[in-house]
Amino acid sequence: MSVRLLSSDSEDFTVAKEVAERSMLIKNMLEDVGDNDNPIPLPNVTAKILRKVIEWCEHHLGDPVTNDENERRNTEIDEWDQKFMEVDQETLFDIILAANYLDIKPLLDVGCKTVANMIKGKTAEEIRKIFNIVNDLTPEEEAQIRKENEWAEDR
Amino acid sequence: MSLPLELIDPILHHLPPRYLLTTALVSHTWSHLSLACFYRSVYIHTKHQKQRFLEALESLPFAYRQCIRAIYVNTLSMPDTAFNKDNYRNDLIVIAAQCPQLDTFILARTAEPFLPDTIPTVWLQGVPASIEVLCRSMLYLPYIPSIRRIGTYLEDAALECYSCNFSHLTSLVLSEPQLQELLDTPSPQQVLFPALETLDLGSVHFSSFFKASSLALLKHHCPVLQHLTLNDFQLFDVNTPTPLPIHTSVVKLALRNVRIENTAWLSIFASMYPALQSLSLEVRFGNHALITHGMDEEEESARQHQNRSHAAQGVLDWIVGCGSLTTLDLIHFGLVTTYSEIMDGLADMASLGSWHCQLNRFALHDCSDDQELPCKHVLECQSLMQRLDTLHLTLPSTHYQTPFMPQKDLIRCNRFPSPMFPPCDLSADALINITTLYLHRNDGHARVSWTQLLQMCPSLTSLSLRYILLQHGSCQRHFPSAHPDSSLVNLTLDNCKVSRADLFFSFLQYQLPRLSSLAMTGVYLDNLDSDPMLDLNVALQNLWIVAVSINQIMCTSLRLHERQRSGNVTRYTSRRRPSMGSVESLNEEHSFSIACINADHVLFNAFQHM
Repeated sequence: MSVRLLSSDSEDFTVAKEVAERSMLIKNMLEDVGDNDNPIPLPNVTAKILRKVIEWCEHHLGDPVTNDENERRNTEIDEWDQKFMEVDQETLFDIILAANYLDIKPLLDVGCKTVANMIKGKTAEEIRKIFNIVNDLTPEEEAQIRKENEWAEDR
Repeated sequence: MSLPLELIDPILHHLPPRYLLTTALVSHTWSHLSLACFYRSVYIHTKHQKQRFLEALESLPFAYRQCIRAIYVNTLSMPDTAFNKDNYRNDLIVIAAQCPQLDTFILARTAEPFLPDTIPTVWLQGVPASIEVLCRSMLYLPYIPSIRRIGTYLEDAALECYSCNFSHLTSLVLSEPQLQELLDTPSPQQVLFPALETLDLGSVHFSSFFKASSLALLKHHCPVLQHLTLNDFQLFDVNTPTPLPIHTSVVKLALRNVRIENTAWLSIFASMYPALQSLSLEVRFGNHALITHGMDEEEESARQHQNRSHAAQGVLDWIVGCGSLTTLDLIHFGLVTTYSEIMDGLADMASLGSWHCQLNRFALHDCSDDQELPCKHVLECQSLMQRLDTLHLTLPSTHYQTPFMPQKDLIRCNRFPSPMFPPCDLSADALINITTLYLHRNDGHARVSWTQLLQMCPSLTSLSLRYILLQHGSCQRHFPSAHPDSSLVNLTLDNCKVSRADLFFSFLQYQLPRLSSLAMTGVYLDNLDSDPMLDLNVALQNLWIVAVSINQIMCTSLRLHERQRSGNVTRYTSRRRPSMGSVESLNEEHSFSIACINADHVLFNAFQHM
């Protein structure tokens, strides 16, 4: 059984139903419309990103589903996923956005973990540089934040 | 490309708390989201930190205070009085007033590098020696409306405040009189704790009696109960309620310091809780000490012996009859002979096929001071060990004369036959499937050969050693290969001595490429250079360094070199020093240097009990 998906730039993808159902959004849609030959339009996902997402879903088809928040958060990114996420920053963000929109929690986790690892050990200024963020905190506000949370650094 | 706004929050949720204080300084949006995430769970490790947190609460904006859902206090580094003296009452009043959304409050003591929010699981999975709920005394906890999990005993008055919340509680600690009073009050139809999953029951006056009818009432009042722990009870007479209710939701049962006077209790437990997956026993059996006048000593001793065997048989029947059991934790049965009888029985029945053993976690705490490893035949019983991946062993202790013995590190099995773990004569494949190993000794030290151990356990990923004298040498005849590479991920040393820390360090550096968690509490590292650096080329999730001595000098600071921080060194220095100790050792700073790629959770303390 297969499902047709239509990317925002009108590319038509045919994938196995169980692959498409890794996306909770698509799964729910399929349940609502029933068996139907029409492609499912995904107006927020380009063909380039959808191809990546399908690749990920196919590779992780047999994965067990964990609902344990802690377990999901604490598992390391496996080697295949690390390779998979070696893309330019824009594509990485697009994949995470697509995972968010399509509601594919494990892919969202892997993407967020990848970005989180980019943040670890960096200073605030370095983080701003990586993500193009303008510092809108005044020195006084910055000092205030430091002071409020000093206790946690303390021992 | 800049980061889409809606992604900031989910990404921050994957950052350990340590980094959230940096991301809070990036911009207004990042600051708000980071701190909201940071304050969800508050972890407190020292008395001083607790004090500073309480002060900070007073000025912390409401927006962040209302984010606080859980407070975990690890009292490992605190003096026992930190939450016991009168002043805690005020502390808790501050917490209650300032954290309106708090749903979890737990005090615990752990040397394991686990996040405190995994404590309830860890505790129940059979690591009793390393984790204990601290507050056996009654705590005053002011009313916090959204509380769901309470991991400490409450004063009667405090408990009464919570009575309107009973229907929401998922975890609770109760004393026996409190339970009796609660069970006596409601109308029969009312269900007291419809959501309760974890219940820890203790007797306040040591060794209260416990009635079987109370267990029957528990079934009615805690219909979804999963984890039940009974502490410090005497199980005496049995007035079995008929029919005996069957509480199928209970999957974990722990009896801690329970005295069983009537072995009928064993079959009551067995029938009431048929779905147990985890069983933990720290029990003693009474000998029905009704010495009849005129009964001679021999007769009396024979009768006692018969009772003991009866008890061992009862335990065996229970274990073997419970087909769902995957975790078994045998801590204590009062007498060593009873313990041996049970161990022998289990090994025999597993070998003969009369016990279809499904265990994947097994804890053996033999308390004898035998020089031999008493449970060797159990470890060599294939049908018992086949599914096992987690093993918890309490080793026989070494009464060594010199605490530091670097010169005798090369061990020949005929010169040091035992007690050394693993022993040379243990069959080579006994521990081949073990991935998680706890080796403990409650007092004194047991000797473990690091090299022998890793050759014996090629699948090992987690190793926890407590009160162990760790040696590097190995028996050349039985363990010829020098340094096997290891897939070890978690390593915990609690109150251990490492006689050749120089070799130990180079092993950590070169042969543990997957290490992500390193915890050392009360560890003596000997035979190191004057300014040693532990250079790990790995990303650490947890780094816990508490009360570590190098060459018998206490380290007062930790220098952490993180490669991701472009060469920056983070220095952790203990703020307060104990009043004891010689003056000269306090004036000088002794650093412990560790290099790694990055470390997510770092805890450093120069001393225990601060």
